[in-house]
Amino acid sequence: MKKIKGLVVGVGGQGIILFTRVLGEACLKADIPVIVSEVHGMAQRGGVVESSICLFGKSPYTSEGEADFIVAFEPAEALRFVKRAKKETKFIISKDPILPFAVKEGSANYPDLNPFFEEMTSYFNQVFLVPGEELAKEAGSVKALNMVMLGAATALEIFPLNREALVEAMLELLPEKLHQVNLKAFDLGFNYIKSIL
Amino acid sequence: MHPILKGDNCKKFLLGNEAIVRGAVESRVQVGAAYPGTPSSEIGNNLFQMQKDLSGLYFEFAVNEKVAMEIVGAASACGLRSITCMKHVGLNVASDAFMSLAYVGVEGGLVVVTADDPSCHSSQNEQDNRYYAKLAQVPMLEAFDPHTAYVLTKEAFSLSEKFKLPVLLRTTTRVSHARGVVEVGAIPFDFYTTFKKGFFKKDPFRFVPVPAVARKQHKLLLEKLEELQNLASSFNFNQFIPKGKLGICASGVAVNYVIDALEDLGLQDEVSLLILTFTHPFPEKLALEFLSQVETCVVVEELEPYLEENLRALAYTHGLKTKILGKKEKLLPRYFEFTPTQVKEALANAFNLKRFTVEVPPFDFSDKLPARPPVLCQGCPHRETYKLIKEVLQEMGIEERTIYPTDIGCYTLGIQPPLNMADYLLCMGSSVGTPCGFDVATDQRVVAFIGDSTFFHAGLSPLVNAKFNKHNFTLVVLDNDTTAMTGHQPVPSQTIKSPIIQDHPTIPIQKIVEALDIPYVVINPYKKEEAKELIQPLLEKQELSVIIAKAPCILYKTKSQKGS
Ligand SMILES: Cc1ncc(C[n+]2csc(CCOP(=O)(O)OP(=O)(O)O)c2C)c(N)n1
Ligand code: SF4
Repeated sequence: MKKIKGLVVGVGGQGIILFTRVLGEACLKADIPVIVSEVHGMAQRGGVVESSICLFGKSPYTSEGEADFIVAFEPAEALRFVKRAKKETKFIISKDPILPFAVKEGSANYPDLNPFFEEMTSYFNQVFLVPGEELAKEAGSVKALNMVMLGAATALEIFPLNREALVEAMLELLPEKLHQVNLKAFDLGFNYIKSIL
Repeated sequence: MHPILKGDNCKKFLLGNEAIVRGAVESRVQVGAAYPGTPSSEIGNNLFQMQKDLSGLYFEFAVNEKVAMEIVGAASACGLRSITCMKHVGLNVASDAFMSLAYVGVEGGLVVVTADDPSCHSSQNEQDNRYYAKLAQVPMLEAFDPHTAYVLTKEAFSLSEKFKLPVLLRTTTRVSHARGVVEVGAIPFDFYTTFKKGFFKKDPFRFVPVPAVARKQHKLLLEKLEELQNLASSFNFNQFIPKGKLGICASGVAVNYVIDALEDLGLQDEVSLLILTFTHPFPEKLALEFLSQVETCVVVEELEPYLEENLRALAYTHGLKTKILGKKEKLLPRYFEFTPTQVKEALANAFNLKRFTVEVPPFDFSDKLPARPPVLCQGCPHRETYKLIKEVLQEMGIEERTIYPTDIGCYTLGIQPPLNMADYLLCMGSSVGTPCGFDVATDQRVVAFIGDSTFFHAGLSPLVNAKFNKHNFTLVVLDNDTTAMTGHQPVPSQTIKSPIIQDHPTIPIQKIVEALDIPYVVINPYKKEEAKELIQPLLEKQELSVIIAKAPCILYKTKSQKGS
């Protein structure tokens, strides 16, 4: 099988580790070779977090010009990592900004991202924006953004796995009291993408 | 049951560090001791938690890496299999004990894990600890993914026991923090039902390296190394895969990049590979076989040219004309982690593949986007302490010229604006040693910051030095009840404790300061005005003083309230 490489990016604390854990466990069940990288340590304190995913290959690092997909939990972070993409990359981006501390404090500003997105969408033709926060809230918790994004990515068929395989892995990893919220989040993300395709 | 213990003879999706833990437990490790440090921390964290499920396992968080090394050295001298793990700079701290351990040797298998950090993801340098194996003259294994981390841990225990030497197991961040498929064996639950004590057989002419003993032991060590050198060449997980006249030698995470790159470049059937995991002593016989069969050898290893130097020396000794390409030719750099694209480009270059280019998007927004440095959490007590001390010094009109030696922990983030309160840092504990120097060399006020865990790690003895040698500065101890930066491991002064160590005593920092007869105050950083009044007199006097800022880390408090 041809390698599938991707990147999940966002801000420390957004739950990216669960995204890659669920995906990895689902691959394991399906006997798909998988390796991901996680971020632990300093960057978890609100810094930039990037996690690489590689299916059918060996490298736990998705570098310049390599990503088949980029899932971004935050719009500025999607832009920060464009160099990792290639012409055919599929982008799935939660559109709600998270302001860095310096911006909240007033010592830095968060620019209007629209011009950058225009430039980006004129080059890449598969950029999907997701109302992540709204869907996570609808599911019952903003913390479920990770499963909204996983649902959305699944709907785009970027992994050789269907909805059932991912849902099964997700439910096995999560304690039962979180099942309902996360299942709903996953499906809201999944259905959102299906509705705009 | 702890998730790492679940499932026998199956495939698991494990972090490199978890794979090491699994390998150690399958190898019947009995004693573990460590001081945390990214990217090694999950090894200790998991062994600590696992004690709940395995009565036959003992693990402790030691105050620093040297103490941890001494604990496992002694345990292994009693015949018990033991493990310690640390970040690369941790081995600097433990090196004194480590060097002697090689001389006196071990009885129970002893594995020392060093987790290096190319690219300084969470460290002050990117030193290559493979040279420690050479320096200490001990065997070294290098993992390149979670599965090899698991396998090599098991190999390391038997190797260590067979040669009665500690074995250095080296990972990097990309290996320790990669999660991948690991084919595990079985956990010996029966073995772990009770803790089986060992026995220390006295042998002072081996275990006490006075000069006469050390001289004898060093010769013995060198003899063992020679034997190990042969073994390295036949080691199961050192692979020579002969193909064509082009060759690549690699170790560490770069092995993966090489294999993927060859596939991408369509060269997998043309290039000979020497994949090494047992790298000290260097597997000369195997490497010689490889070098004699290829015309060009590209060396792909992160950081220092460790393999490269060995290969060049070998080629020279044996009069080989093999063209060796590596760091010397600047094919790949001596700094930072590699990226797969970089390795692919380097190989294409070395093999003169003109047709290969990586297509990257023609724009880059990174310098137009807001920076997102890691920050102190909302409500973090460190921020409050910094702010109120800054204010007092500003009111005294000396803030701008005050020197702030700092130390390593969450509070190092005080470097960022608007605080700007971190001026000098070398290593853990340097916030107490360096003020002694500043005090002698300048008239500027010195207000130093250290965390509680760092204080116990390396701050105690320099504080004694400061008192004894009459140095004047103010030390602020940020007593937040935990080792926050590395994931909330215990500290001796903590009052909120994990259930596993519930019956351990609390060692209040103020009692230590009292014993040293140093003036001090204890403040609650959230009570700003009260705290400012308390510290003002200390800051006004030009003498040695300590401010203990006591308030638990917000994250630790919520975590422990939730009972995790
Ligand atoms: C020799 C060495 N060992 C370990 C580390 C990793 N490390 C960095 S900060 C830190 C602990 C900080 O704890 P503390 O001083 O209590 O500060 P906090 O993070 O709680 O604010 C550790 C273990 C290191 N940098 N150097
Ligand atoms: S983890 Fe704790 S000590 Fe570290 S920044 Fe957050 S609140 Fe502060």
